[in-house]
Amino acid sequence: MSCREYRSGLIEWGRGRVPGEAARRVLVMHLEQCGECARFLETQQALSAAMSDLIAEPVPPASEFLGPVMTEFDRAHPPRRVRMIPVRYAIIAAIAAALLLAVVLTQTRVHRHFRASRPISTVTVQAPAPDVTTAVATVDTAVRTPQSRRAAFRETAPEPEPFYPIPYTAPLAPGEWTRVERMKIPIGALIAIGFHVIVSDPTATVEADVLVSQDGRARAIRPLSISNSN
Amino acid sequence: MGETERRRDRQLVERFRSGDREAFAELYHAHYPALFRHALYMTGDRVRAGETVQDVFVWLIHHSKDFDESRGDLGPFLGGVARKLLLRRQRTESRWLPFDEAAASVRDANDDDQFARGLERDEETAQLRKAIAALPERYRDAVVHCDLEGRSYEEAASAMDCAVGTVRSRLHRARELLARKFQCRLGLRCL
Repeated sequence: MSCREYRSGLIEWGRGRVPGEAARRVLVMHLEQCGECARFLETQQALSAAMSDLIAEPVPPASEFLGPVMTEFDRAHPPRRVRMIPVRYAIIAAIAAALLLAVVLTQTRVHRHFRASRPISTVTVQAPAPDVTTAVATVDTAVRTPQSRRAAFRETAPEPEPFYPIPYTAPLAPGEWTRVERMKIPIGALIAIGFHVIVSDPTATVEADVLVSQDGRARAIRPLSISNSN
Repeated sequence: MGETERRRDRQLVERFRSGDREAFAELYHAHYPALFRHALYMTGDRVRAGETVQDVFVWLIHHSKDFDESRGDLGPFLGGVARKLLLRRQRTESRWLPFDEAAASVRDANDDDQFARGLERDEETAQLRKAIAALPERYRDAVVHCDLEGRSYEEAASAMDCAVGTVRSRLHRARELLARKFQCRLGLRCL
């Protein structure tokens, strides 16, 4: 057996791990014959002792290196920002809520306006020229003042008086904006545009709501009352 | 590490992740000594060891999510971080050798006997520390884990991610190298 093969056991012995009885006896026998290995063991034991000194060296106080670390911690977790975030979000949320409310209110008004002028859906149906006398007679009793008209609307009909499409005009496009203008129309004019009107006085005028499309053209009328010229 | 320390670490890490300053400071105080010693054995330099400890905790501040409690304890995890940071630093610094250290290394090689005679105990310890730090990484790891931190071969193998036999052979090789270098300085007859 060469010295090299004993070295492993000698290192462990030098580290303080005393080998078992049999192994120790073999090592001791070799050490008695080999001065070099005896010195090797001595060196290993001295090395272990020096390492013990190294382990026993005091560690500097933790506070010596703590400052910069905590500074970095504070930079990574700024307490102010944590408090500011909810306030910022609250302001943003308040502005968003105000904008949303404004939009909803505006939409509601527009929607009401549209609902008031919605009967256009009934107007789009191309109907034969209506008998205005009948319509005027019906409206004449129901429509007097805004209050009575509203009351009549609630009690009798869920929809306002329908508009009659003006013959030979193009139907309104879906979603097309319209406006309603109230005006007095001579009977002759109604006859001229294609309505079938039966009246005793051909010079009379009809007060009516006229539905005007985006291009400024009259598309339908809703007769309200008839008045004689004299 | 006992179950109590493990539970304490888990609670502290949880609190620290949610921004608790006190919990982080407590973690620092609990792991600082072992980490400093580890860095000191690896570098052989107290100043660099202190810097390494700082680097490890700064890294932890920004990468706290990287620590997975189910895979092991915080202590060995921080030790692994320290080792990686040191290796990175050594690679960066390997190209630069300070003038005075270069002169010292020349003196070591040429004037070994005179150096050995004049050493006092503290200097001897400092030189041993430097010698360990100068070992190749795989040998140094084995010495630090087994001889200086008192781990068993199995624990060291787990930390070094290699076989138990490998740890043993690396440690023996490292001790042979150290013995050869320190035979004269340790007050023994030179071979």
